[in-house]
This record gives sequence, C-alpha cells and structure tokens, in this order.
Amino acid sequence: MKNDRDDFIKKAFKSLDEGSKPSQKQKQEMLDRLLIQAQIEETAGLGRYRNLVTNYPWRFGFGVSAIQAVLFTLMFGANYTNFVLQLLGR
Amino acid sequence: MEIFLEMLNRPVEAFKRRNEKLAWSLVGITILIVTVFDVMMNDLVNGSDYPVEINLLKLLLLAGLGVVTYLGICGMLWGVCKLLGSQTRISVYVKTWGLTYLPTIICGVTVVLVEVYFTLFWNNSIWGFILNILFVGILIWKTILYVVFLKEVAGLEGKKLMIAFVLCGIGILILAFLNVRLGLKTPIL
Repeated sequence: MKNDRDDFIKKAFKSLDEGSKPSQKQKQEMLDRLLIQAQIEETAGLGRYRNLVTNYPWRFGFGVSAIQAVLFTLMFGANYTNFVLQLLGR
Repeated sequence: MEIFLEMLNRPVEAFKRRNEKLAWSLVGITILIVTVFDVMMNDLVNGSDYPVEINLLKLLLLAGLGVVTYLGICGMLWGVCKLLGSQTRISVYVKTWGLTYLPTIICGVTVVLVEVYFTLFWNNSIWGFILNILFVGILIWKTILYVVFLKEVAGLEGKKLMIAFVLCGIGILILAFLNVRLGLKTPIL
C-alpha cells in the first residue's frame, strides 16, 4: 500500500518535472529567437551599415529617394519633377 | 499590429517568423486595391462625367491573374534559387514572399489616386516632387526587401546572391510588363 503511494508521489513529481521542461518545438523557437537576436546585435564593421538598411528599410528608401529628388531637381528642374507623372499619364 | 510593425521595421525577423496569414492578407489587399478600389474610385470621382462600366467578370479575371502572378513569382524565385543551390522548399516562398507587399500596397493606392485626380497633380511641381520621392522610395524599399528575402529565405550569399538578384530581377521585369499589358496597373509582385 505504502509502495503504491510512494510510486504515485514519484510519478507526480516526475510529471511535474517533465512539464516544466521546454518541448522540442519550444527549444527550437528559443534557438531561433537567440539566432535572430544575435544577428540583430551584430554591430561591428559592415554589419552596422547593413543593419541600418535592413532595419527600417522604408526609412532608408525614402531618405535616399528624397536626396536624389533634391539633387536631380536642382540639376534638371521641373522636367524631372514631372517625370513620374509623365510615365503614369501615358 | 505587432506583427505588422515587425514587417515594417524588422523584415529579417518577420521573414524568419513566416506568418503566412499576414503574407497572404497583404497579397489579397494588393489585388483588391488594383481591381476593386481602382474601379470604385474611378466611378466615385469621374463617374458622373465618364460613366464607368463595372464588369464583374473582368474584375474576377484580373483578381485571378493577380493570384497567378503571385504563384508565378514564387515559382520563379524558387526555380532560380534552387538552381543556385538553395535548399528552401517552394511552400516557404509562397508563405513568405507576400510579406514584401507593403510597398506594393502603398504604390497601388498612390497609382489609383494619381490616375483619378490626375488633373490636380499634373504640371504641379510640388506634387511632382512629392510623388517622385514616394515612387522612388517605394522602389528602393521593395528592392531592399527583395535582397533581404533572397538572403534570409532562399539562404543565398555572395556571388550566388548577385546572380539570383539579376536573374530574378529580369523575371520580375517580364512579369511586371505582362501584368501591366493585361490590365493590372500596379504589378502584383
């Protein structure tokens, strides 16, 4: 009788212990997150400039676009500002 | 909202997370804008002067063409990258490429609005300047997402990445040309 009770308690502790461990899928997710984080935190050398572009790509795109718009408008004037509209208005 | 912001600001993480619901939603929204929103805006704004004939069959065909284009570009990306040694399955491309459609959506909305209110924008230097920044910005943004996609999803690097960029770029240009010729003003790419 006592043995049965001990077994039951042992099993209960074992299941509690197993339940608190991460599953294979959870382990994989944790690893993925760590790898992503490591990649993001790559701040040395070229990686820093790469991150500047790949994080917030819209900001980089519109930033460069604004610079080219100013430069080419200064060079070619109103012809350049109407360039896109001409393409759409065909 | 968090997933959406992740796609906007940290595409590398978004590609790794592979949220297919978000990807396919973005593709669906793009198709709706190029088909339904375009006809709707034309009818609302210019309908009284130039009645717009709403042809449901044509709209459905265009939407179908949009879906075919999406599958086509995924297949093309997969084929080229596989030839260059990528191990990524085609299903991953179908589940992930749609995450690059945020700039396409903005482009689609802008194209519709510029066409509908063309007289308002035409020969106006300030609007021309703003639209120039917008369209070139969208092009650069999409190109960045395209390169990040080839690197992170297809797993290509160095020379292989460059070759894939050029080959897929040619494919994208051909698909874009076909889309525009067949009536999709903003290519579903």
